[in-house]
Amino acid sequence: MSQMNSLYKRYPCRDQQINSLTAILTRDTSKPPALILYGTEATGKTVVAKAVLDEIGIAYAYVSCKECITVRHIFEKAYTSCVALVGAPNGTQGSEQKSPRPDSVNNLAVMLQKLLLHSRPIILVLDGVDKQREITSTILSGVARMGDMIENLTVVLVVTAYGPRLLNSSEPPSIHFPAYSKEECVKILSLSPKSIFEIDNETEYSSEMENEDRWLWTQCCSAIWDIMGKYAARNVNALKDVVDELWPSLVRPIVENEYGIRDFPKLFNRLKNEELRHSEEIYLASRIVTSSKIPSDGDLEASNRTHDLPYFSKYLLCAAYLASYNSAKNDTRYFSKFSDKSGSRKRAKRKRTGRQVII
Amino acid sequence: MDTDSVLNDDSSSLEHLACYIYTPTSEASSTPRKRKAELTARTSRSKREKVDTKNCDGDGVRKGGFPTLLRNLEDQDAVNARYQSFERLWGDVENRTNKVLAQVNEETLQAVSTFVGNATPELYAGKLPTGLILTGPNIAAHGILFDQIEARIQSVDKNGKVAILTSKDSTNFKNVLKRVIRLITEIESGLDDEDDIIEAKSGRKESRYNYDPEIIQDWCLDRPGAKVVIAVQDTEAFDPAVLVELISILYQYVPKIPFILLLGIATSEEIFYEKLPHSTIRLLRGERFDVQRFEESMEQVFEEAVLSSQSVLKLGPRVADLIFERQKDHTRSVGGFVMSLKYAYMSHFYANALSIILGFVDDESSLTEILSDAHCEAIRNLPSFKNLVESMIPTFPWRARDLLNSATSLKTAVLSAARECKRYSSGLTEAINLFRKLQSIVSPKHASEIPTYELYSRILWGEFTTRPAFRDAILTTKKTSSEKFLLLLTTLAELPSELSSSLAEAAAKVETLQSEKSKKGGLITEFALPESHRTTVKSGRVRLDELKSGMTSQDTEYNKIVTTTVQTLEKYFKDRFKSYTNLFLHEIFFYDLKSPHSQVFAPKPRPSIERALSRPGDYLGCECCSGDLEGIEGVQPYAAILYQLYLESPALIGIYDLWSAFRVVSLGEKADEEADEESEEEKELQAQFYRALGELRFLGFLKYSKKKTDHLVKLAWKGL
Repeated sequence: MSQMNSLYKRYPCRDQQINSLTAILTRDTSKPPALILYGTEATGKTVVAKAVLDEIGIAYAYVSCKECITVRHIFEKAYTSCVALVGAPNGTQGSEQKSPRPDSVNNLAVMLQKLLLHSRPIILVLDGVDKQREITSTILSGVARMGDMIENLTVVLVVTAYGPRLLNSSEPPSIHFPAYSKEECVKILSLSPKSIFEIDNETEYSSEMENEDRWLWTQCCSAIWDIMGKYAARNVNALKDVVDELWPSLVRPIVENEYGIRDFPKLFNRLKNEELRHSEEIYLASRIVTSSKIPSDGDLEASNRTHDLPYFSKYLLCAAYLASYNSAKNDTRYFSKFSDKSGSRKRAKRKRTGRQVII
Repeated sequence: MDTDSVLNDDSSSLEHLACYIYTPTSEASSTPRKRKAELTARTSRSKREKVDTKNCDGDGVRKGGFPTLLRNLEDQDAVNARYQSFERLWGDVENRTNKVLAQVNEETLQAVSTFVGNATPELYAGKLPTGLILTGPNIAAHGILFDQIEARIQSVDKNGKVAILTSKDSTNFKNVLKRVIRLITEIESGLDDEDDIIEAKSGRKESRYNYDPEIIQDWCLDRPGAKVVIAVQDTEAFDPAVLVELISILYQYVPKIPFILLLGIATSEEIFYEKLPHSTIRLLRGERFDVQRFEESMEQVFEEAVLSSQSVLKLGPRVADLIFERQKDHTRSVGGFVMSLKYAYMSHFYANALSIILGFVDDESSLTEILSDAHCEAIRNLPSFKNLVESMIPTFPWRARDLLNSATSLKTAVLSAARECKRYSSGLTEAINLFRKLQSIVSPKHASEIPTYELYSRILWGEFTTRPAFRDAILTTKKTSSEKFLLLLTTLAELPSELSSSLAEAAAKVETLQSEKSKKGGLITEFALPESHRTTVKSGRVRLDELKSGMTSQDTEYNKIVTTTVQTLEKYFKDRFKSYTNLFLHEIFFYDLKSPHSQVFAPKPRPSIERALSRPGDYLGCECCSGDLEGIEGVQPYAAILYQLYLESPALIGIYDLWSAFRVVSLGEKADEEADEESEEEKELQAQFYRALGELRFLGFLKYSKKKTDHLVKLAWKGL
């Protein structure tokens, strides 16, 4: 149980998931053929799964599907990592080059069956399998059912969203990783607070200072969650990004001895007035370039440095843009040289209305 | 002939073929009757060809195709000298401009290369390091810029390997990856295979799919520290879906492969952000790089290529106006300017026999040698010579007579005129620099409004000193505060000019005056009225009087200095900004022919194509098509015949009608005979008909109608 305790400590707020994962995978009688872990972005699915698997000591092959370009690529990676776990199948050792490539689910299943016939049980983790661009639900259910065919294999699928129709088959056991609440987020982030002052060597860093850092960091995290939790900081990773970004400007007054550490409300107000006023939109739009956050004089100068288009290109583009508001069916009427068979008066009228629409 | 015999053997089966390749039996000749004409005219034609080749061998190769001018009176040596001086002078200008252009991007290149060298994911919160390069809208320059970046990173700084992607690579994601792998690892085999597999090389690694980024990972293992730079040259045109996939894959591999992304953005950062989903943008973190703006680099290149005293040939105001108007309206590219400058050099040396004078400006003895009587005659025909002689007649009539009669005195006049022209242009450059400086200090706003190259053509027109811009500059100089005036004097004195000593003197005086008066504030002049004093004329006068009475002795002294300095400046500018047309031989030193440029740099493709098709003789120049043939003739090329038939047809054309008309025109009298489907001639004509039809479709004149079978829709009318 001591192992589990260290896991609980490392991954707070995931006790229940760790427990059920361990329970399902360490059952002595029969392992499930498949297992589904699901939850939105940044809820600790992959990390927890890997940590638990490491802890309970079952051999497992891990394939990150986001890294794979095609489905065949996933199959190939899954197969080669399985081979790496149990060793190459007997018959093909001599002729490495000729080894066939799994290019469909059936193929993969047959090959794995051969491979794992007499081996110890292994687990195949397919991470982010629903995020792969080519994968279809048939392939997904096929992969999930491979465990039915092969005795020694358990397939763990890590997915973002899980509905009853996902696999088109009997539902394997699943574990839900819900999104963290505010308290949970703050708790997780406070595991690794940043320090207020730059620390040169570890010995100077007393526990008192650590406590102060932790307190301020926690305050800051929860305050920022309150402001931006709805959009820019909607999960742990995003919140961490924003806090990391704002932290130096938050603690600057403390470093410069203007405020004490306990003056958090004042500090935060100051931060809000100085930084967030300009940059809230920037966090919302998530910029690539973050160095020039506040529009200053230098930036105004830079904005004058825009490149001009040639005169005619500029106005032709404007005209094309305006014309794009006309629906395509009217093109012949407004722009074509063809005349309809209708009478000239009617045409003249049309032309007039047409021009009005264009203008 | 094999295919032909095959065709003949089973020509009966041709009817049932959907398509077949027809190989004409005869040699490639565009019309049937021309073939016959060729037979008869073979002798005459070959004669003409002989003459042509003689011409080419004789002179063309040696002097770069320059023709003999002055009604063939020009010496062969002079023609060669003309060609050589073109090569020399333009080569010099080109070298200097290239140097400037190489420096233009230097700053950006340096910044990008440093970024690539330093960037690690740790530095950017574990995200994909990204450089946004704001390249500006001149697409023609982007390729060069990215090549420079590649060369810089790969060869000079050796930071890693660069793969440049353009929008035409963005057809699908797999191809993009394959291209990246090919560019980075330089593996050639296996990338085009159907089965997408790169076989393992000598059993070192297992074989992989040819789009697997792990190939790059293997490549990186052998080269520690090398960055893998993916540069997207035209991000706006790149398929956004592919770009999103590319970014997500690169991001996935960031822990394993040191990927760095460079994105070339022609519009603006904001527009770029709108193209990609936030989730993708969140994967990127990095820096922005600006490329020098067109105006700045243009100014530098202009100063080097035209204003510099090393450039002997200058642009005249008309050509300069034309070139810069085109720049402003259409292209905005420095490369375009250099091309038009080169064209000016080319056409000047090609068509003007007197341009050899330019080549010998520094070598007077050889110039007198190479100028022949024909040259002298040509000089006497110049308008500027006429002006010169006419101005001489009232004062020195004998000199005028000498110029007209004696070649020697004319040559001396040419030499002095060459010196005079050179002096004029160096004085002009100097004065322009001085004026720009003055403007930038006195009224920076005006200075940024008119760039140097526009100022140049305005001055050459000769009336710049009467224009408001000039008078404004002089007036504001009078009114500036004493600090600014002092600054002005010191900076202007630093520039090399004949005024520098007097300006420095004035500056010293003002400085002493200012230090004397410093307790009571700056020096005042009667010109510098504070704004509030100008309520009415009367009160203004009263105030002025008060002001005058309030002026100290230092102020009066200062007032004098300001007045004299401004007067000297004005006189100096008026002297230097005289029109160039007063100079003798200005036709040689200033290239000012508008029409070659307007024809060459503003092409008219549509009228040219229409003319080529309706009057092919104008372009082909062969005997059969020459003459004043208006309208359709059987000897014309097939596409031209078809085009003219097309012009006569209504908006919807039946293909069979077109074919029969075409047949009648092409065959002439023979068309009345019963058509024999199987005959070789008929078959060839049909093939040519389809080919001509295909050509017209390619040019966008026709398309197949959906309304009626076997009908064509007319898409373009002539002369629009």
